[in-house]
Amino acid sequence: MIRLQNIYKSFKGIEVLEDISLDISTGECVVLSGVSGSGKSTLLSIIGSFMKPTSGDVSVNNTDILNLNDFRLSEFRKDILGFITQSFHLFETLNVRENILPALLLSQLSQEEIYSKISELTKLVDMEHKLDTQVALLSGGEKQRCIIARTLVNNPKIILCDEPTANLDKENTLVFIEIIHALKKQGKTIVIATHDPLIKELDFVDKIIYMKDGRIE
Amino acid sequence: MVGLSSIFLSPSVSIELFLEFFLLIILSYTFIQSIIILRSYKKESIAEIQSFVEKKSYLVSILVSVSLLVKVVLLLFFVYALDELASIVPGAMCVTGVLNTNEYGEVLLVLKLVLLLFASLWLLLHKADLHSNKGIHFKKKMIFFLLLYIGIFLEFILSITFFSSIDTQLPVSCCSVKYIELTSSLPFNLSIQTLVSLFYALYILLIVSAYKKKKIILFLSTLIFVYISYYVIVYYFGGFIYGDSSHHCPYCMLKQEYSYVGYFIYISLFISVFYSFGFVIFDAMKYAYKPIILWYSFFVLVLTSKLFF
Amino acid sequence: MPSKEYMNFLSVLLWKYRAKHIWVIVISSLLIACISAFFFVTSSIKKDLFLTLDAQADFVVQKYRAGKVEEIPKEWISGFREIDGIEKVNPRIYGMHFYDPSETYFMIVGLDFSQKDVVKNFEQSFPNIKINEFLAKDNMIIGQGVKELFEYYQYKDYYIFRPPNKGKQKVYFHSELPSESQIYTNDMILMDSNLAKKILGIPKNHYTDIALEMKKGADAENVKISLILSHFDMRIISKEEIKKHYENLFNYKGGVFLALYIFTLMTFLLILYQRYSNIIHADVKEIAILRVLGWKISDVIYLKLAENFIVAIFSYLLGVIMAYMYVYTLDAPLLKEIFLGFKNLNNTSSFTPSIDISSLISIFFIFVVPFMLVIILPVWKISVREPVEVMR
Repeated sequence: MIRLQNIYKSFKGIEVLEDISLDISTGECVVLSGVSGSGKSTLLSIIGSFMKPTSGDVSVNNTDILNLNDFRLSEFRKDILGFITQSFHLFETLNVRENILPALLLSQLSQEEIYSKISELTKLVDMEHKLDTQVALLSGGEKQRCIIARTLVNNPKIILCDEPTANLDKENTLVFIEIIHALKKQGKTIVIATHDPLIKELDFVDKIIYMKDGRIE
Repeated sequence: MVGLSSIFLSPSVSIELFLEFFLLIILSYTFIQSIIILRSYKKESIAEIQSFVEKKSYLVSILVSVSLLVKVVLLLFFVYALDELASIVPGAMCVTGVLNTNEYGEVLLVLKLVLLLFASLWLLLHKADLHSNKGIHFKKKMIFFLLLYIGIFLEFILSITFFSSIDTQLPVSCCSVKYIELTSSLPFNLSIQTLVSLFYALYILLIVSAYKKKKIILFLSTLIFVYISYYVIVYYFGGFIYGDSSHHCPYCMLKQEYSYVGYFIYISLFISVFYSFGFVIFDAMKYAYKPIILWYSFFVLVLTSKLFF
Repeated sequence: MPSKEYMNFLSVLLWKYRAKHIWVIVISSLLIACISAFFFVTSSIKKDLFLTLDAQADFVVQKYRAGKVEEIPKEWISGFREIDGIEKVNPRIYGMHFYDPSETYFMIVGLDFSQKDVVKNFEQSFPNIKINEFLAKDNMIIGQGVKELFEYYQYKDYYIFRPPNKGKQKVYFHSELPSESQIYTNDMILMDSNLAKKILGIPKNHYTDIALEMKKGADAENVKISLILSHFDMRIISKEEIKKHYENLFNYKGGVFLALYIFTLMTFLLILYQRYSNIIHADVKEIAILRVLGWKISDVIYLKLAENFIVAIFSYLLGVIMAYMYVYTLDAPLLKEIFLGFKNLNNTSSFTPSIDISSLISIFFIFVVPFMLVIILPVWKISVREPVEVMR
């Protein structure tokens, strides 16, 4: 479960988030909706521990993630969290396999297990045939699926998506939605920050939180 | 002045001093950072400050770890540099002669060995701290480092003093003169045969106490064992190594003509002592009795083998 | 110990981002090549020189008067033979002959064939030369450098020396000294000792100096004292002193070279530090991706350090190989003259491959250690950046 209490965040004197309190139950699919600049990406970063709020508390499964040391935080990011962004943060000059590999390098898996895992996940997102293709040569949709495969490698409990369909066409957006639906069925907690109306209208979305000027409406 | 340049321009000496100096600069920066960290650490635990402390501590830990690892190897380099200098210091046939050119030589060597031991223990403490993930050894580690730094700083000053005081015109005594008096220099006025028996007996005691995890017995017997080992190496096993019962020297066995056997002997002894101390001091090293047994046995085996080969 | 997959990933990163590292590798390997070449040359020369020195006499005794070396009278020989600890007394004839046209010196060495040792050594060194035939007329055996010079000045069969006490002395070329010994026989001429005396103007029953060999187990200091007490107008040069002199000479030249290297290295490391401190976007993105995937700060630091360590090792190996080829294949042009000197005859000797582990370790430490220490701070700076960059 994710709990945010009285979150404030300011950048150089400008309040970006004001008094955000939010509870997200395990297995829920929550959409953070709002225009650009409403603070949804910032909120997502705070939930994902990539940013610290100016004040307030964030806890995940009753663990205060703001006071974790780097070791524990890294474990949280590796084992609990999965992150999908709009900008496809991939190593462009490496191929698909080489992009997924870093997510598994720190695990205790053997070489065979690592490659088997990569194969399994890329199959799941229909990218197995592109394992040796350089990421720079992939389409938007393929890059997105590569990110998803990498995100799922350690079987995260929480998946955060920041404008995941911003750079996708309709067909690829539908593929993305299918994958997210499958993950919801597996009991994963999903938080999507988006202004894509297609996502907001999905029937498996449990909650839509509207944000404006850093506040929840 | 000619003599001074021949010392400082000797490649191995200049490399050794350059690296020591370089490490000192790095460690001085780390010293300042450590003080900053310790001062910040005392403040209230606000997330931002703790994050700053944590990040800075990574830097300090890595710089210190790498520097100390290099220092370990530099000790061997120091010995090598002294051996090279033996050819330009009149009368010095090996490291012994060079160390005896002035009053700083042996003090410097002992200081280096002590610092080396403490540096190795710091690295162990650092490893334990990393594993704890809660920073329980963090403050101890930082304070330990501050003390270690003072020692390293003094060591550097002493190094410069030692090398600049080496007189290449004045002949010195070599090992055959320095270590010539056998009976009067043995501890407790024991005969060499008794010392050798004591050596083996202590070895058994060490193995048993390590296996049985009797820390105090291990610690005390380690201290006595090291002390006795020095004498049996120089006055008993040395004769077999050199093929000459009158050749008593702890350093000549480091030379190529004796197959560098000295390095095997001293390094294995050092590692054994290091594990013994680590085992006694740190809980995290509770399984260290295995390497203790291994390394002491290796040390004794190398020496004993010289009786036959 | 990193896994095979970790190493694979590391090598992929290095290869794919090689443009970042190439300039470092080029400059580093050149620096290492310079310092390695120095070590190889000195090691090779020292090895050859000290091998020769080891075969030399323990003491060389010269007569000194008013600060100048004079010829030693024959009468001194018997006195030396009586000193306790002396096994052999070998009087020697040698000297420098100045060849005006090229302003160079030849080292003339006289061989006394009345001595059994001399005959034995000669037969071993020149098995194809019959001594009787060699002594039948005024013959000489010349070094490679001498031969090249005489060929240049069109001397085909003989050369006419002009001794100091006037007159002429025609000496025929008999054979050459072996090229393997060129490093120290380049400017040498061997001939019968009586002939040498004539050419060098050494009086009868006198010698240039006397070489003394000690008995095994004799104490050098005691022997030296006995020698000093035998004659007061004498200079004694011990083998150990010669070795020490050469050590000092090598140390001096080497030390200057090393000082220059250290200065250059420091400049390079400063530039490297500046370059790595300028955090570029690609590096930030790379780190952010890894941090998002759950890599700890320490994991990222170790990856970056490992990357740079491989760059350092690769540069080291490349540099050492380049130096090896420069010294032992190309004969170290320019560097050779610094150590062997430009002064006398052109020395075309080759360096005997001699690589000593301690030199390789020294080179490793004097480059890799400062290199790694300097990049730790910039690597740390980049590794602790928050992955919030991913969001931007």
